Amino acid sequence: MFSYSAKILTSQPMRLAITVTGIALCIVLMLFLLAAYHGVADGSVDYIRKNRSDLWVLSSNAWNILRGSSILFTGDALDIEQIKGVQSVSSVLLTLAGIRKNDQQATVFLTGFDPEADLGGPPHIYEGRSVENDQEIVLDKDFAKKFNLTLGESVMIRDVELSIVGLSDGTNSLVIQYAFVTLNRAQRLIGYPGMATCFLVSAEMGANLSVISEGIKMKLDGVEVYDHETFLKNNIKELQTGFLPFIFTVAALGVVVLTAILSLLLSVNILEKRKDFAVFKILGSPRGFVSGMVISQSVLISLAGCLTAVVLYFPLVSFIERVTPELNTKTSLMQMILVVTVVLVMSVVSSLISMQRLRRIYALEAFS
Amino acid sequence: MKIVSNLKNYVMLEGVNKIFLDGDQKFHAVKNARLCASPGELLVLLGPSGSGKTTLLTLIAGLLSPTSGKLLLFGRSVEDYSQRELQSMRARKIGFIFQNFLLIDAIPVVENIALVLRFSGMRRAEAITRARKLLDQFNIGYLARKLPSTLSQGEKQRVAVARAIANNPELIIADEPTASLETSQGFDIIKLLHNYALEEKRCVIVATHDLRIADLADRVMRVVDGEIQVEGSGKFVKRELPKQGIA
Repeated sequence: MFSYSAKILTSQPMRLAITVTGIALCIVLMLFLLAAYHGVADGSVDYIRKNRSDLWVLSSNAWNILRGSSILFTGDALDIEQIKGVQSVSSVLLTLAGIRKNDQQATVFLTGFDPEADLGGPPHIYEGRSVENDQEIVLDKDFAKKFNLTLGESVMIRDVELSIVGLSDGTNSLVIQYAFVTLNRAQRLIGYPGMATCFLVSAEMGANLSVISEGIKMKLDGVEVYDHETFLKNNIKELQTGFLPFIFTVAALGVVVLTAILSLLLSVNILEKRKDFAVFKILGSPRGFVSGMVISQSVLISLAGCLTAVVLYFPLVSFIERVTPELNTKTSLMQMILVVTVVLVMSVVSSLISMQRLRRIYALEAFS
Repeated sequence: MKIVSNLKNYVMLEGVNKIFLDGDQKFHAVKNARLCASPGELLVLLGPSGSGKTTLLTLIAGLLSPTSGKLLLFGRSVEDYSQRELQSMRARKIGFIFQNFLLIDAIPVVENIALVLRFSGMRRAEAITRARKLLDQFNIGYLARKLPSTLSQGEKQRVAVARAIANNPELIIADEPTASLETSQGFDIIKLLHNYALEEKRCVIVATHDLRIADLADRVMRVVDGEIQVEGSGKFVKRELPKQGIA
């Protein structure tokens, strides 16, 4: 059956090529969206994921740092340090800031941290080193690439000149990138010394985190304390609610277009080969043979589309990432398996839609 | 002539009528048809276009049910066959030849023939081997890998005949098999079918408007307006036509 289907499909090579290319582009779109999502997701939460703190303390109305608003005072960190089982507390200030270089201007998610505490800084240094004093800054590597910034150059935030000493990785959340300075520099830039967004708490070995958490809430009013896993989940959830619906909508459109292309092609094929199908029926084709041919044609086209998509995908993504450095994608085998599965399911659905026409083809038509 | 149900008759029609309804309109396509077809004979249904020949063929193939009357296929009433049995019967016991050949253009000649063998349950490799042998017997082995669209009309019809007899069916139904052919090619095809009927003791029913074919038939039935009006040898029917005012 597959061999007959393949021969029928290849008997019109131009149409087959156009259809396979159309399907391949739909698949590329779906793969790209998944990869972009994972790239953004990782870039957005890697800062939290790779952080070694045990507890995150924020204002009680903020349960994430991506879109939460938290204001704390660094002096409160001293109270937390007094709690039994707490090893260290590090203040972090997160704020949006404009960076200028000559006539170029861009916004970053400026992260002020204490270099001495070694908590809250860049999750991974791609090139160079982390900040050591108030005149230094670490930029996201994709951000630096986009604006042609290299190590040793200087950028301006407000009227302060900062030297680029490092480039970080895993700090690109598509719409905005992280940049790292000392806590002191960040506080002075926004004009509120003593202000922080969150406290990162490290516990002593074997300490009970729940007890510490309760202790913090008793000492400080209006704060919420999250363990590392919960806080990571909170931020991923925030990301998903903000970004996933868009991704899913576009991906769903891709699936609909793919199904429509396949259904249309199969329906046209059935209509054009109407006599052939009537002949199959009159010659006594076994039950399921004719419908099986339509399904196998659909599956063959989809598989050809998948193969073409894989060939097209990686050069295409590489090109897009060169043109748009801030777009960070992450492709995995699981994503590919997921997309291929969706495509194969949709190819069967398309053939079932087209089969409505098949039922109205009668063996008698061979005599007309 | 009284037709008696006989297991030797592959096909038997007794008082068969076929009426098509189109809204309030009735079209009586076959009227009180009486016919039997036995192994070893070439039976020709002769008549002009629209006379009901093709409807008779489709009834005989079990593709249509009679509105009234008795239709036996291979000794069994057509009403007693399930759809699956009819499909299986067509795959194993009936070969078809169509006016426009109706070969599958997308697959090579050898696979067109192997297709019917596959439908009757044969494995692919065996079906291909048998199809090649058949093509060699027809002296058209050189066409095996060609696509039907590249063949001449005569070649296409020979392939169509090879496809029809591939399963060694007990009954061959041919609808205007010579209509697209030159006279000599048409005669060759009918002779081929006649030889098959005689040598293999099979039955061949041909519907045609071509009077010249009547000479090669064992029996001819003249069909006009859905009725079988004259029956006999080819020469007899040809003699009778002018008497009935039918040219």
